[in-house]
Amino acid sequence: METTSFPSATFAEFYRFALLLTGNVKEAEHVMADTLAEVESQLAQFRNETSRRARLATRIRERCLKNNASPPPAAPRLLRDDSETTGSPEILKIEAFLLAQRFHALPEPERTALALFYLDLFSITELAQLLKMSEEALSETLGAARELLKQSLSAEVSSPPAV
Amino acid sequence: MNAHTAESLLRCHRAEKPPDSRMQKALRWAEGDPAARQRLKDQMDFDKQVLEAIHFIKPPENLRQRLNALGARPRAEQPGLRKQIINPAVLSALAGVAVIVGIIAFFVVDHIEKFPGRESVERMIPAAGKMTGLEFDAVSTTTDQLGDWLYMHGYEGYEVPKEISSLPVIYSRVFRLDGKAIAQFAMERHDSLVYEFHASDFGVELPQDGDWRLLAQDDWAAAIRQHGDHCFMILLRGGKSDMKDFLQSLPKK
Repeated sequence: METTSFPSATFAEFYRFALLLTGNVKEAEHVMADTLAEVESQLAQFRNETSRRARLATRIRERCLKNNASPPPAAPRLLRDDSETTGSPEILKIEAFLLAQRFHALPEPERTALALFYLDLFSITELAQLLKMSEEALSETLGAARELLKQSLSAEVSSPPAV
Repeated sequence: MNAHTAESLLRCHRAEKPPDSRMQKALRWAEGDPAARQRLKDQMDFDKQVLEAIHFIKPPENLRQRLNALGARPRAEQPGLRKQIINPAVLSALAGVAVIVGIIAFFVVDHIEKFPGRESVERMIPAAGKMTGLEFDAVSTTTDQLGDWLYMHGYEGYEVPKEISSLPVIYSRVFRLDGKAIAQFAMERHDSLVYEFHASDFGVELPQDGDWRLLAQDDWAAAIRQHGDHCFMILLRGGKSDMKDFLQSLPKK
């Protein structure tokens, strides 16, 4: 299987996208592997990179939605001390994993919209087209997604540490 | 720019991106509205934190190799073709399809082999097995010279098939079936009998000058074709494959 359709940096963003949607590393890897096995040969048919990106993002999303029947595994505790701005890689790693968990728990299309917005794989116009909504609706969706994510992460920080 | 449009645009603001003219207007509007400015600041702070966390997600160094391996390995949740075939439901469906295909094939073959008047032709075949040879008259002529002899014995309008023209004939006779005359002769070279009759006498309808149509009955194989109202039938002992070999040995029509 070839995986040379994208530069490494873009490829990494798609991996992050899969992780944010699935909420766990193993599932993200499987989603990426299965999706690439399915669409890698089709990607060459698209003349511009945006179309290739859109194709891959759409298929990753579809596959994640299909696999999302089971609930996500329990999230680990948020360990970072808010006063510490330059946390150790270990602590940040757990935060990233927690973030993926919280993203995974968001409803659709908020989850996909916010993930792709942060990953900056598409312009706002392209993102609206990809999600088949107007730019204004996308704006509303992003606003709602931010609020849900903020609430979810705040609840995690304020809850007592697990023993 | 009104507040609604500006707020709508600001929710899509990416701090790390240079703003276009519309976004610049929205940002200017937010600067002049303390509540909007605070909301934008909170949004940008939150986005920054999330982006930091997201970009801490590093794909494994060997991600591509891992994906290659995963893609090449059959997944448990994606049963392979073999597993799917072993599934009783799939097996039942395949068996059903096989039966339907078999029935269709049977009807197609049956349809191809059937033709009007076939029953009459089939009645001629068993008689060959009961013949002793005494029924025939010995002759010494060729197939293309046999017309007069047959006419004298009650068969009118003889015509020789091109494939067997000018071949030596050693026995011949004219007999009647249901009152209709049938010419029959044996050729020296081949251990075969040739029948000729009028198609309309027996209700036979075959494609004009079509290929030989093969029939098999008991130990006999027959090949029949029609030219005008003339039906030619070659009969030999054996199966259809023997007849095919025999026909291939004949000159082309």
